[in-house]
This record gives sequence, C-alpha cells and structure tokens, in this order.
Amino acid sequence: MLTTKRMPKTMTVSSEGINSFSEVIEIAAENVYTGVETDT
Amino acid sequence: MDNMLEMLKELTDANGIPGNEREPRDVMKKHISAYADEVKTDHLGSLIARKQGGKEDDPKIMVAGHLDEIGFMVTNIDDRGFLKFQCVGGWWEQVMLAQRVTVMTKDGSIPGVIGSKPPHILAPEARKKSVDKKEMFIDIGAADKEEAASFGVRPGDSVVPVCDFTVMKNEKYLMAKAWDNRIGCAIAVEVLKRLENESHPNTVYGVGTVQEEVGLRGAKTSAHAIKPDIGFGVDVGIAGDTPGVTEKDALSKMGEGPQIIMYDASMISHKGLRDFVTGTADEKEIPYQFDAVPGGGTDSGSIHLTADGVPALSITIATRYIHTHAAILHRDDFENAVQLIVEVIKKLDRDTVHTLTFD
Repeated sequence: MLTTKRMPKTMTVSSEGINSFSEVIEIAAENVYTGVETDT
Repeated sequence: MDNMLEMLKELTDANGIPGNEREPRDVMKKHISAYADEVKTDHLGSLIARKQGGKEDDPKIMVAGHLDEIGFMVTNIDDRGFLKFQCVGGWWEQVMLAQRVTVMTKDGSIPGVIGSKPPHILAPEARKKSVDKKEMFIDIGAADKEEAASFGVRPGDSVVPVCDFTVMKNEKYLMAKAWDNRIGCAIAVEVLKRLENESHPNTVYGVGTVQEEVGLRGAKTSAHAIKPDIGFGVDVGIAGDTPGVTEKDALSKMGEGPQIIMYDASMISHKGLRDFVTGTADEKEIPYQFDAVPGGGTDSGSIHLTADGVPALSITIATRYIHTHAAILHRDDFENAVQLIVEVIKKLDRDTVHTLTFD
C-alpha cells in the first residue's frame, strides 16, 4: 500500500461512514505518488 | 508447515525493494506457472500470468498484487564504513532506528543495523524527539570505507528489513516482513489455482506488479499491456484493532473478512463493481468489511485509469504494523479474500461486465 505524503486535516471515516469526502478528493489530487522521499 | 504457509514464507522472505523485484518475482513465477497458459514480464518487470478463457473476446480480469516491499537504497559509504541511504517507499522514523537490515550487494547479502545514539549521551530535549532520517546510517560492521567496499557494497545497492516469517502461537496469526504486499501476490496465485477446474467465461490475469510503493508504477505499465475489463488491486489494509486506534482512525479488525475499500487517495472504487462484489459475498456468506484509506493507495489507482477506464476495486487484508519490519495478519482474511474473488470471477461474463460497467 502506497503512503501519501500527508493526511487530510481531519480523519474521514467514522462508524457512521464518510464525513469529509470532498477533502479526500482534494488531497488526492495534490499528493498521490510521493513514495520516494527526496529529502534524505 | 503446510504448503500454503510454505508459499507465504517463500514470498515474504524474498527480498525486493521497488526497482529490484527479481527475488519475489522468481518466487511468484514458481508458484503461479502451473496454473497459467502464459507467464511473461512487461518491460519494467511486472509478472503477468494469463489463464486464457474459452474465447478470444472473453472479459479480461486482472488480479494484481505488488512484488516490491518498502526498503532503502545505499547512496554513499562514508570514510568510517557507514552507509548513508535513501528511503524507498513510505518510512516513518519512529520504526526505523536500531532495526536489522540486509544489504544486497553484487557479492551476496550482508547483515546490518540502522545505527542510533544511546539515550545516555542525548540532551533531555533530544530524547523527546524522533531522529531525522537524514541523520541515520547503516552499520555493516566494516572498519572503514575500503573494507565496506571490499564486502561488495556499492551505491545503488538495495537494503531490506529483516524479519523471518513466523507462525505465531495462535496459528491464524502470521508475522513477517513484506506482507505489503506479498500477501497480494499470494492471493493472485491462489485465485488462479482455485479457478483451474472451474468453468467460467473469463481470461484471468494474476499479476505481480513492480514499484507500487513509489507511485503505482508497475500497475500502470502492466495494465496497459493487459487492457483489462475489470481490475482488482489486492493489498494490505489498515487493522484498527490495536490499543490506541479508534473507529475514527480505522474501522477494520483482523479476522473479520477482507476489506472492501470505498475510496483511498488514489481511487474512488467503482460502485457497480463494488456492489457486485459485496452482493456475491452476501450470497456466498463470505465475511467482509468496508474501509477507506485517505492516506494511502493501491495499484487499483493506476489500473482504473487505463485506456478508456477500468472498473476497479481494492480488496485488502487488515494488517497490523504495515510499513514496519514486522507486520501481522490473519490467515482467515487471506482465505476469504481468495474465495471472494474466485466466486466473483465465476459469476462474471461479457454481459455481466457490460451491465456493471455501464448501468
């Protein structure tokens, strides 16, 4: 499982289901595919 | 140890960081070849095992686990023989220090450890912080740079975690390095194996992709080569059943069925396919759990964007301590994931694929 660079500001899953779906999409567009860390 | 455990041991004990997946690819090839009509690799190294359906235009179903595990790459040897390294894949500093590693050199593997200062010489403030990766190094027990080089170490060498495959006291619990994602490779093997004597009108591809942990790269090229009608990314997921983890963090528990991923950072799962899979699970009384991973992604993220688009779903195994040296999963979840995918494939045909794709 790929790790993305940062998490959304709030967690997105509760026992009731999804509660901040739009933020996930926004974050995904910014930061998927960041597995190689170039600052080491 | 039964045959299944032997395969899982071989897969997880094999060493292969992104870009150097030869060992796990050879193991997967060994286990899947008997159940495929053709086994080949794409030009980046992903393994593609094809079991042809009866007709040329049968739906193509791709079941993909990834071969690579997170690890490190040697970037430099300092004058005292210590190795500087680049993380390859998502590592967290807290789980790295003082861990044993294997350095894969041209002359064979050698042991090492990620070095750390003892707390005795740290200032009080330093003791409260995690050490930055940039400050870390690997100690291979070399006297100096020349001796390290004489061991065969060179910049670019792969470094992998050390943790022998272990069946725990409760034999359903299995601990190993590289569950992420040799369990997905094992699922692909088992799906082809269990479909061997089943009648169904589909061509099934068991795939071991490369370079997932650095951006779902092998899935992109292998899916391009296959052009599947349906894609399943099989991977590990997050187990939310350890102390301190709440339902707000992660919903799933080990042993309660494979996870059906609603969405992650790389994909929103295809609703038609998701409903078809969960409907099949309900019908066959196979347990499953819904989950979501906002801070991660799987090969499905690449597969679903192939060509005109591919209905795709990630089916994952709730796993404790992923992206560390020692992860734990539950054997029943593996078995149920395999059974679920097999039952789904048995129900698929050209009309069904068309319906779930377009209705």
